[in-house]
Amino acid sequence: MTSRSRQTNDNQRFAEWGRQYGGAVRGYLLAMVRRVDVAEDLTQEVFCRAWRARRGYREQGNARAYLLRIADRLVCDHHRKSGREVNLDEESWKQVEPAGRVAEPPEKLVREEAGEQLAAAMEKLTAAQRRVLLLRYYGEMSFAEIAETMDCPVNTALSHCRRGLLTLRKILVENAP
Amino acid sequence: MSEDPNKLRRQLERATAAEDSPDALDAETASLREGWLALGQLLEAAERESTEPFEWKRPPSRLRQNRWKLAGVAALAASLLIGLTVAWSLVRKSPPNGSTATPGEVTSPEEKESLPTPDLDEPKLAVDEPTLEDELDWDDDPLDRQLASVGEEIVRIQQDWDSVDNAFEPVWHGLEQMAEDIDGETL
Repeated sequence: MTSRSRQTNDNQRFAEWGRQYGGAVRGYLLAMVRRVDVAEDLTQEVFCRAWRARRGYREQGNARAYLLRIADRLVCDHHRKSGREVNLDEESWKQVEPAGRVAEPPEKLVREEAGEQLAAAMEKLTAAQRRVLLLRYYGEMSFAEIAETMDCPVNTALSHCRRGLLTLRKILVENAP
Repeated sequence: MSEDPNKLRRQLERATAAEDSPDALDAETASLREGWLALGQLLEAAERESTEPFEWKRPPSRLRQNRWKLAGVAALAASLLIGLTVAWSLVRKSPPNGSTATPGEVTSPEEKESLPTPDLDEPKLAVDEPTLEDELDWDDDPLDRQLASVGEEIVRIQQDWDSVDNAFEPVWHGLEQMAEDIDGETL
């Protein structure tokens, strides 16, 4: 395969990845960092990192998990650099609707309400519980993959998942209005 | 609480499965599933991807980014070369002592006083005084040629930039691959 055709294949593959998994990567990052602008930047960065490392990538049919793993690493770096575990304040979550984006009022209300509920729910979880649940949700990873991503034993990941789900049920189902 | 890790893993896999299990769930798994579904609904409602689909932008190559810096440096170097050439030519043509007076010209009053009064009746020696034409007749051809040559070269480089760029495309591409291989630690 020539260098040029290889590059064309890479371009096509990444365009496809962007279409298929871009939303999941962005969703994960948004749920973790709670800021649209940061999530957008980090999403682009995820794909840039994957692009730079594309020669080392071995096709195993699990690109989604691969991208989510990069996203998770970036989130950890982001939090480390910004000197906080997770941006938890509700005010910043309310600001996730970017200025200037026009949405239909009912849709906007639903989103705002969902955003507030999500912020409240996420606040009740520990950072590890959030990571496990969001990697499972957006990355569709197995628990072994999640444990590997988080660099912890599988049992620990399972435990975080269970506790997180029980907490969410309590907040979102039992205490639902 | 489930103590067996395998049992817990199976339970959580069922609770967090993408699709509902056809088998009935036990009470604890059903409870966990409720929490999972509630989270999913919330994330879906709060997601923005439906309003603005993600578009991946390929990162520009660092070599390509630096290409313009290199071009800028080259242009600067060419300008400096022209400037130095002009300055050197001017220095070479100016008098060695740096005076602006022409040879034989008296500038200070003391010198003027010490000079003998010219005898008007004394016949003048036949001296070839420089005319305006002579003064202007200095040889600037080499400098002109140098300036013209550098100027033409700059224009040619600017005009042929695209073709040069295309000609170097494989080289850029190769370097880019190498940089990426190094970044990706595949070398």
